[in-house]
Amino acid sequence: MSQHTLQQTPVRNGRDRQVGFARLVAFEVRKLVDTRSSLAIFAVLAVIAVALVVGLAVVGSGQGTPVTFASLAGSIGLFTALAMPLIGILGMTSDTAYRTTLVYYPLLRGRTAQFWAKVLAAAVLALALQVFVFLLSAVVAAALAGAVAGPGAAGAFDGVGQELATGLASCVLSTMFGVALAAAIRRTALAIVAVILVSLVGNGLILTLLPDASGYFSTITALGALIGGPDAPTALEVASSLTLWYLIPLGIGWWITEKSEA
Amino acid sequence: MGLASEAVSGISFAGVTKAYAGRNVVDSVSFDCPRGSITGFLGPNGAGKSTTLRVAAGLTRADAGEVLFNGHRRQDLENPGRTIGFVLDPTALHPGRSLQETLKLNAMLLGAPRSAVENALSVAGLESVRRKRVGSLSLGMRQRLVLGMALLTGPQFLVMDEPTNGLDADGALWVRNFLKHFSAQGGTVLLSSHLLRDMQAVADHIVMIDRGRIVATGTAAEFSVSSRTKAAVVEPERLTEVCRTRGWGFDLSGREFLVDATPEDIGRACLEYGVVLTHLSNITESALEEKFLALTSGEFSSRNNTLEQIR
Repeated sequence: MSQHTLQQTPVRNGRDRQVGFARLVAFEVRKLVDTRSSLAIFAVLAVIAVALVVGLAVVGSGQGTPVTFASLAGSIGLFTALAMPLIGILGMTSDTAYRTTLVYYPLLRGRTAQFWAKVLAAAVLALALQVFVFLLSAVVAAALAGAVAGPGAAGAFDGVGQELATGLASCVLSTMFGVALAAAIRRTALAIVAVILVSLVGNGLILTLLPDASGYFSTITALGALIGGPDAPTALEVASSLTLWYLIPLGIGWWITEKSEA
Repeated sequence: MGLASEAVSGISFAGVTKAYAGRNVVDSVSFDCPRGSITGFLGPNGAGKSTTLRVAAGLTRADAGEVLFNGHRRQDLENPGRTIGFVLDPTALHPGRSLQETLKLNAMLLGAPRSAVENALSVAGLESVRRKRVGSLSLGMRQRLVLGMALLTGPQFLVMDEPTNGLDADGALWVRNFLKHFSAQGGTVLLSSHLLRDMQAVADHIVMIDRGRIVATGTAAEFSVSSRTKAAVVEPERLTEVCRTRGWGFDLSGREFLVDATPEDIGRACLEYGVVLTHLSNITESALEEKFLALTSGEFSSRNNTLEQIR
């Protein structure tokens, strides 16, 4: 620290503009990707996505199964369903895990905007990953179609619109599931365990104990609605599931954020 | 709401009260930090200093009372982060971020230009370690970083909790000089510390807190005025006689005296009466400490513990 620098920090007296929500979201997105650990996580997710897409393409073409964009993007749905909640959890719990709320809360007028900026930032990043998966699937599908049946082979991109819509919607839903539970739990490890337990064990238990009413309580009811078909859940079941696993935890998380000591 | 009203300049704490488990850890705390001055917030460990500052930062909600910055609540300022620089806890930083990135994030959030980051790195003396991870820094370096973050946007107010904690002598001196410069430019500083030396060196006003209550306030001069002199002699009874002859009040402990006279007067008298002195010093510097010890007991104080109790 040197004396000459004392002149460089004048006391300001001007008016200051409020921090806008878009800037808050950009700030939260940057916080999600600016550390070595977060970059490592995204790199691992990207590598897994590449491996899965290429692996599925190789296996599919080896078995003579038509490898299309829809089959590739759809087949790695389980991977994205597991990865997206993780992004949501990391986005919601980072500040409490490292106590950086002590740094950021005093800078802002209130906490509500930052809470929702975190929610949106997690969705933005998850969508980015999903778009990466789509692009990868498109490249591989186009390459295989060209190799097997020549350029412009019919069928490689059949159902692409439906797949894009379903994929993006399920991406947001999966991310928000992690976001909601993490918002309420506020501990990274606990939230990860909760997401895994609820997804893998909870849904099974609900189906076993309440076979006729499972749609109202299952975490995947809304996902089922996206897929559609004869077993698609009713609007009431979707509303119930969304309220139980998304709205209530998010509401609890928002309330805790507002009321808690940082 | 901007800074239109400047009726109340500086920081005002008005009846701030905070209780945990039914016990007031901050109890009706009221004081002002005038604009363009440094207010030292002094108290023993657990006195309520940090809680009071956390209320000012919006990290803790007060049960009653409020904190005003130029007459406005923090949450009513357009951009509190640009107006107030908080230096609270240097350990509350993400260990995986570089120093530079930590500053850039704050600058991005507050809308500060890139040059502000360079300036903050320069001001805090962190240019050479800008790419290091926060997790690899010493407490002193983290303290510098938090200071840099607080100064990013040239705030009008600085609220600092033990800012010299962990700093080396050079860093601590720099902070003291900086605060003097900052207040001379019209900035308002609230400086919490249990380090009396910090307070004596920089504070214009002192606010003393103990067990959640303000126990003394005043200017630094009021806290440091003392005409007492500490003297140690070989034959205490002879200095006692001198003091009585001269009409000086005194306290005696073993061979040590605290005398209501200047060192010069005592030295001359001892020379005149042939009293052998082994120590003679003005205790003006420790007047704050005397008052601090007299007015604060501190919930976690161990000053009355004897060696036997400790064993």
